[in-house]
Amino acid sequence: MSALTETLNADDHAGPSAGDVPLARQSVDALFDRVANEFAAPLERLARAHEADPALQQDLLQDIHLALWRSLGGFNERCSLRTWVYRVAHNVAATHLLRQKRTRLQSLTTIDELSIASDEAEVPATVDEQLVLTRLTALIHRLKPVDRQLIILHLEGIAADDIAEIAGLSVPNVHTKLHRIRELLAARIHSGDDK
Amino acid sequence: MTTEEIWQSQALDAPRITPDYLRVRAHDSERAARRRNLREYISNAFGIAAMVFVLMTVKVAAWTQVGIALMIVSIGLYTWRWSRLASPATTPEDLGAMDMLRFHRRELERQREVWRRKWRWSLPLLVPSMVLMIIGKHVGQMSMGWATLIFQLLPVLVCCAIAIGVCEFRASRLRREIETLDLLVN
Repeated sequence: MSALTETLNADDHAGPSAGDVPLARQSVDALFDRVANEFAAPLERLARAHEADPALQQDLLQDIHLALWRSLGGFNERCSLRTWVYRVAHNVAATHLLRQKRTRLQSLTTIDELSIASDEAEVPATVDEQLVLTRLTALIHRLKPVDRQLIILHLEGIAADDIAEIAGLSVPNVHTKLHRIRELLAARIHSGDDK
Repeated sequence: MTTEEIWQSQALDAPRITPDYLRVRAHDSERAARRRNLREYISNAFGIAAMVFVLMTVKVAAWTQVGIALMIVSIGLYTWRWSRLASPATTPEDLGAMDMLRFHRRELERQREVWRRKWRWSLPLLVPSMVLMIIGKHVGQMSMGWATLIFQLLPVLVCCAIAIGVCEFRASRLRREIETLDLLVN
């Protein structure tokens, strides 16, 4: 087991920070039920976007739910519930990514490094939805954690300002990255429909 | 359909995860951590108990007795210090992505320093008691020559070399992990 894995495994017991009033367990369960209902679909899509192996997808999804359930005791409404859920979920997903082999991590790239031109010989004006999803997933799998988070949040339809808050990045930086993402999606994934 | 709409229309089939299920999983992982800690404490306690038994029952030279007593104290101090230094920090769960990666980097740097320094404090803590025990045995049997003493000290030197090698290897592996993490951030 690598030291990073040991560190990452030790992340399971984060409690509320000093000064926060922890929620009662019943309240946490009720809040978790709300999160599980409201965010079931985005969280599952997030797990799919980060992990190609179906069995590992389920493990990742469970890890995300477990981290959320544990963390909700410290939820203090300083940010919205959506921001909290996405931050915790993306951190668990990034942690999952960091556990992968060094050689695989070294092959990851950034949005800026990706060429706008598609690797495919030709991107047709209209493509099958399944093909779009396959291409999208392949594109996401090539990205580094922060850029992955940005593209997934963009695909979930979250506004740039909210993405900046969730990712902890500046708003101009997020706008620049989103512009690049839209170009990439238009050119490589779904020619014609993305604005 | 736009790309966003296609993305959001993905068929979902994951089973619903309930708080009760998560409670069982959390309990299992906490029990595994408790068992791991218990195993470490038991093995250290067993080592100390064995040395106390030797000290109390076996007739050995005074120097060896001092060596054994020093070893008991050293193992206790080593266990205490190592459990403090090696414990990984807990990640605040709601950090932004960049902050989370920076946190992991800082933690890896801390662990790398812990491993780089480990042999520098642990060997001076443990080696004197080992040497004292061997010298005690040598003094108790005056017929033994210097060559025998040096030969008996060789395993201590080998253990030291292995300990240094392991610590430096762990530190260099951590350095590589930091470099990989940097690749993901930059």
